[in-house]
Amino acid sequence: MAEATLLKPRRESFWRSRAWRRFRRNPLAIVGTLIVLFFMLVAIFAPALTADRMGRSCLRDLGVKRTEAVRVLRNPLSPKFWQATLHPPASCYKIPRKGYSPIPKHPSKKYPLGLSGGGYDILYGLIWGARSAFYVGILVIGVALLIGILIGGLTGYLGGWVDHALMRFTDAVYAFPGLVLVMVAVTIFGRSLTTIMLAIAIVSWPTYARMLRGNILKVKAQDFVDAARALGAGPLRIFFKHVLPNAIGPLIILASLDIGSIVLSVAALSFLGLGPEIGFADWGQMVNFARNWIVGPPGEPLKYWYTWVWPGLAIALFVLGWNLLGDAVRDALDPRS
Amino acid sequence: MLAYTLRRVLQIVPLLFFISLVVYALVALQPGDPLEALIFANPRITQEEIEELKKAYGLDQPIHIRYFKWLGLALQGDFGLSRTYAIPATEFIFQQRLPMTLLLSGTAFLLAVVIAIPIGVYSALRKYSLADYVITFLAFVGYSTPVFWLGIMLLLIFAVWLPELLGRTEPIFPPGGYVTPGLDPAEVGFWPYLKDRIWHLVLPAFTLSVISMASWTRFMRASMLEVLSQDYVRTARAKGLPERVVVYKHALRNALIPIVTLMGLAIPGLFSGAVLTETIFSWPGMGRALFDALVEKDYNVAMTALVFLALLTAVFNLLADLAYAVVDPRIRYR
Repeated sequence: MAEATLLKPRRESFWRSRAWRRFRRNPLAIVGTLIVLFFMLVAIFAPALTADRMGRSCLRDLGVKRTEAVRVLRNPLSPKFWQATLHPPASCYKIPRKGYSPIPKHPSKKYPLGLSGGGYDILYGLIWGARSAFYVGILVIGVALLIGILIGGLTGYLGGWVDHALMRFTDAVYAFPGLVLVMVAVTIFGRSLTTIMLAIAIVSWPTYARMLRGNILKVKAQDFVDAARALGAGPLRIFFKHVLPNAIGPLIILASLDIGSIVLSVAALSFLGLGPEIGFADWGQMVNFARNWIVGPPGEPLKYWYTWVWPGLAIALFVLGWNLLGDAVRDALDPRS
Repeated sequence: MLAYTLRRVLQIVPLLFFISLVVYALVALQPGDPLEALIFANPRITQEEIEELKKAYGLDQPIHIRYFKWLGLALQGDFGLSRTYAIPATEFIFQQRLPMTLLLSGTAFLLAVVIAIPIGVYSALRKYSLADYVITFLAFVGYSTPVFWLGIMLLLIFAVWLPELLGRTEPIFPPGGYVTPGLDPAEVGFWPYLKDRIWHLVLPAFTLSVISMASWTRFMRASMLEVLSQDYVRTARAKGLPERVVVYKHALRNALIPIVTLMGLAIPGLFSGAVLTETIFSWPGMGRALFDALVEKDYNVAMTALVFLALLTAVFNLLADLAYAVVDPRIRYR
C-alpha cells in the first residue's frame, strides 16, 4: 500500500495575513497598542523607575542599601536589577508612606505628584499600580481560563449527558451577579489579594467555558476532522491534535483582552474597601485614600486634585488601551468584516 | 415553541435551588454567628444559657436541617427580620429600597436607550466620517472610565466647583440623597416636590447609564452597518424607495432586534451595578442596602437581596433566550 503523503500548504506568514493588515490600518488599534505598550514598559521597569523612593522593607528584602539603590537598581549589569525587575519581593508592592498625616501634601521636588491622605507616595503607587494591574489581570484570566478550558473542553469532548449537566452548572454560575458575589466572598474571607483574585476568577470562567464549547462544536463539524477520522485517527488524537488547538487559539486571544475589564472590577471593589490589603499599590485603593479629600476646603474646592485625578486617570487610560486593542483584534479576526 | 418555553422555564427550578444553596452557604460561612454579640454583651453568661439560646435560635441543629428550614420559610416569603432596622427583611428590601433602585435604574436605562440608539444610527449612517470617529472614541472612553471616578468628578464639578465659580450659593445639582431633607409634598405642592426629586436624580442616573450608553452605541452602530449591507436593503433601494424609508423602515427595525436582547440582558446588571453609584451619591437603594448589610452582618437582609438579584438575572437570561428563539427559529434545537 502506498504511503499517503500530505502536501503541506505553505503557511501564510503573520505579517502578510489579512488580519494583521486590517489591524494595522485601524487608527484606534494603533492608539490602543501604544497605550498598552506604555503601561507594559512602566510595569516592567517599575523597580528601576522608583529606585529613588522605595520603601524600607522593599529595600531590605531586596538586600539593597538606600544609598546604593539608585545606582544598583538602574544598572542593567547588576544582578539586583534583574532580581528586582523579574521577581521583586511582595513588600515592594506596598506603597511607602512618608509620615502618617491624614492630610494630603502638595507636590514637592521629592514627591513630584504629592502625598495622598495617610502619607502614601502617589508617584510610587501609580507606577507599581501598573505592575499590580498586569499581575492581577494576567493571574485572574489565567485561572478563569484554566477552569473554563477544563469544563468547556470536557463538555465539548464528551458531549451527551456530561455536556448537559456541566452546561447547566455553567449556566447557574453565569446567573449570579458577578460583582455582588465577589463582594460576599470578600466579606467572608477578609480582604486580601488572593481572595479577590480567586473570587473574580470563579465568577468569570463560565464565559470562557461556553465560548470553548461553541468553538469545539464548530471545529468538530469541519471537513478536516472527518479527513483525520478517515485516515484512521482515534478520538483522543482527533480531539487533542486537531479539534482543541483550533478551538483554543481564538479563545486565549480574546480572553487575554479582558485584562482591562478585570482591572476595572478590581478597582471598583478596592474603592468600596473590599479590595487587596490596605497599602497595596492598586489604583482603585488610591482613589479610596483620597475619598475624604476630593472636595477641598471652602474657597478652594480643587485644592487636593492631585490625590484623585492621577489614579483615576491611570485606570481609565489602562482600560481604554485594552478596550481599543480588544475591539480592533476582534474586528481583525472577524472574517465577515 | 411552547415545548421549548416550558423546558426553559422548568430549568429555572433546579437553578433556583442551586442559587439558594450557594446563598445560604455563603452566609453560613460568614465569620461569627448571631450568638456572639449576645455572649459578648453578657460576660456572666453560663454555658447552659448559651445552649438554651442556641436551641432557641435553632443553632443546635446541623447545617443541612437549618438550610431546609430556612428554605421552607423563604419559599413562603419569610426571610426573617433585619437586625439593623428591626423590620422584616423583605419589607425593608422590597418596600423601602427596591422602589428607589427601580427609579434610579429605570431612569438610567431610559436615558441610555434614548441617547444610544439615535447616536449609534447616526454613527452608522456616516461611517468613517469625523463624527463617527469622535463618537466611537467617546464611546470607548465611556466604558473605560471607572464608574466611581466618573461619579466623583461629576459630583465635584456640578455640586461644588461650578457653583463656586459662578458665585452661586446653591449647587447646580445636589451632591447626594434623593430629596432635599425635610421637603414635604403636602407643604410645597406637587410640582416643586417633583422638580426636587428629578433634580436629585440627574447625576446618579447619568453616572449609572454611561456604561450601557457607550456599549449600546457601539452595538447599535455595528448592527445597523450589518443590516445596511444586506441584500433586501439593496433591493429596497433598487425599487427606488426614498432613503428615509429604506433606513428607518427596512434597516432600523431589523437592526434593533439584537439590541433588544442585549438590553434585556443588561437589566440585572443595572441593579447590581447600582451599588457603586448608590454609594457615591448616598442613594438609599437596594445595592447600597446589600453592601451595608454585608458590612454590618445583617444576614437576613443580605440573603433577601442576593436571592432577588440572582432570581432577576435568571429570569432576564431566560427572557433573552426566549426572545432569541422567537426571532431566530434555528435556535430551538434543544
